Amino acid sequence: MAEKLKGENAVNRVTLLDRVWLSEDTFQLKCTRPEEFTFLPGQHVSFSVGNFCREYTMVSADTDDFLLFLIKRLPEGKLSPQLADMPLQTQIAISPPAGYLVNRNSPDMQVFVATGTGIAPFISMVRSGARDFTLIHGARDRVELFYEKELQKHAASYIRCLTTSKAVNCNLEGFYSGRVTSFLKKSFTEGRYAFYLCGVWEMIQEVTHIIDERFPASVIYSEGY
Amino acid sequence: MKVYTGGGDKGKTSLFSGERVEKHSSRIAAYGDLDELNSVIGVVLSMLPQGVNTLEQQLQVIQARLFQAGAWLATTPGSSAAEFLDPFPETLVKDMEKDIDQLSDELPPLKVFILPGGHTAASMSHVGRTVCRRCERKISQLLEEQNSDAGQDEMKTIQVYINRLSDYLFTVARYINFKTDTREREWQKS
Repeated sequence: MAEKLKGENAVNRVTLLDRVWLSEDTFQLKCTRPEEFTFLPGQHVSFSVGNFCREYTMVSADTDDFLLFLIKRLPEGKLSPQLADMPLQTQIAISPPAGYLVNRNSPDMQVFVATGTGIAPFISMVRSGARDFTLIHGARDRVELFYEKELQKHAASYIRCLTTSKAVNCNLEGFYSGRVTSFLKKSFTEGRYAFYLCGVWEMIQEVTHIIDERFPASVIYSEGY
Repeated sequence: MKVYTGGGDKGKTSLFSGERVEKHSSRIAAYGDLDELNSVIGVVLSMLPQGVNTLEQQLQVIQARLFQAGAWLATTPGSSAAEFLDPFPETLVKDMEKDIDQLSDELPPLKVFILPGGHTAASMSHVGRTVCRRCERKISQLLEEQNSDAGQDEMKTIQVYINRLSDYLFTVARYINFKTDTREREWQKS
């Protein structure tokens, strides 16, 4: 049962309900949703276990009565291995939602750019009703294109950038062989966009510089890790 | 979360509303000065002498308000990002005026010009006062350059708030010198 922790201001306790592995090292964690816990699709919370805190973004819709998170198990990680192995029904403390990588209702074409589990905020946005966006998702392998079918259904354009040679026949429509940065540099039509970036900081830095050069009138909202 | 992102290495930075702008643009200059002002207030706080708890509480509130003000300055007026900002109502100015009046009630009346200085915290408060004046000039320039009326109310309130803050910091400097028995040096024609 979700409830507010006594004596811990604005901290919520959630119960782990289910864990589904989506690839060898990435899983979706389902938790109870605390009463009065509201969030904007794209926001994240901080999980606290022992002395460690890590931020994870909701992938559930803002209207779901549970919370879903997409988590990559990092072998040297402080929290993700614990979350991967923790028994269901365990209670965990989470912070209130935070972050500004949320739908800004820009008049320009929305372009979501993600690498790996950086797709998480966009999943929540899509599940909460976002449509008519372009999505560019970078991954090593097709198995890491999480929620692919769901995204395909709602994106106006969905480019899957895969970096391993065995990954896919990149002649297929909607696939690109190479990194998202390479796609944006060489193959994305010049114009004015509202870019939403989520992934490792190195990608965000590189993409930001490409946008400055190729799409200078665009706006950028980003969240890195 | 990393402190460094590298997104600004080529001379541009992002506003809260998402636009990429040159780092020397008026808007960045304005909230940069506001950031400097907040840091100076942090120094004043760290140097406060014993027995001025009221100032400690007031200055901490002001630091939070300056963060709010900085978010407004970092947002293009009329953009959808403004929906995420905390309001900056005129009551904040009134609250500060009350604080100035309360502190002034304890001070001897000011009959001559005084030179900035005295206790270290008081001297730093004078520095803060001058940074306030610079912020005001930058905000004034921003308001002049702004094409639209959108968001003007908050910007104008922030401008007034910074003006009052400079008066407040002047009063704080005098208050600290008074409470620590530090002599205020009067200006004399040379």
